[in-house]
Amino acid sequence: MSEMNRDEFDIEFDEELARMLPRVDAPQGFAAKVMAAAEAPKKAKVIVFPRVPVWATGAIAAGVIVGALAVGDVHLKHEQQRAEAQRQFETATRITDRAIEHAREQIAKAGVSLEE
Amino acid sequence: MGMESTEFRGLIEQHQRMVFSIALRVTGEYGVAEEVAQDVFLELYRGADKLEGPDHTKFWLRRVTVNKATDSLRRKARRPEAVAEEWMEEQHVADSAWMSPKLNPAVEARLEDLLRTLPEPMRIAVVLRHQEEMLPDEIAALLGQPVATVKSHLQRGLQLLRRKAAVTMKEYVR
Repeated sequence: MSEMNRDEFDIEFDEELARMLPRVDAPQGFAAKVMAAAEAPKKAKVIVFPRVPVWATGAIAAGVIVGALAVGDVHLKHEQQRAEAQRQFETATRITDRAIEHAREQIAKAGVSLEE
Repeated sequence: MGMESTEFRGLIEQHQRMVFSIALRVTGEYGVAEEVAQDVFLELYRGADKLEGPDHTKFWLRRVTVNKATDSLRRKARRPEAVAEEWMEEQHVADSAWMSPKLNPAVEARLEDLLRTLPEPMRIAVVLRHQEEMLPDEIAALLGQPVATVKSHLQRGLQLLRRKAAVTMKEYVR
């Protein structure tokens, strides 16, 4: 194809494009939809809690109390276990101290010096 | 916010075809185009007091439509550019295929599809030039680009469209 033909084609193609790309209609009811969106008042967000029946409120309260008691009980048990562990530790320490003291006395009686 | 309902409705009715058509041809999707067009008019409603007359309104609507449409494309990350580069490099054109699209209904029917495959800057330039019948310097002002860039996008866009059209014609004849 010669350059002249290609130029003619370019112009023709250009014109054809304009013909083949007309504006299209907006969707039906578009204007009304936009108007409604523009005029809709901006509603403040309100947090609505669901209505709870009286029996459910009582059950929830009871659950909370039972839970609190259970937590208290667990705490008490933990405290008792801790005190018992402390007592056992102190007893073990006393026994160990006595054993060491006894060993020192025996070594001293045997006339062995630990100085060096 | 300083626009009366009747005035706003008048502006929608006057410009909805233009706004929707630009949005449709830039995004390539009917539903997305409707959302974009709706956003454009809602922004017009909120900022109408900044506009200075009908010409400025039209200019503003075109510019905001292009911006919102391209934003929506980026959110979807649709990028036909890579494919387009391949088309530009390959030799798709046979001499016999250089025929007028007027003579080829297959091309005309597929033109919207072909347009959708153009890279974004070329597609926008072609739509504004051929749908809106804007001159390159008007497009440049609208997009905030140098006129040379717009001309280049137009030239490359048309070249790409012709190549694709030529292949379509060959396939149609085959």
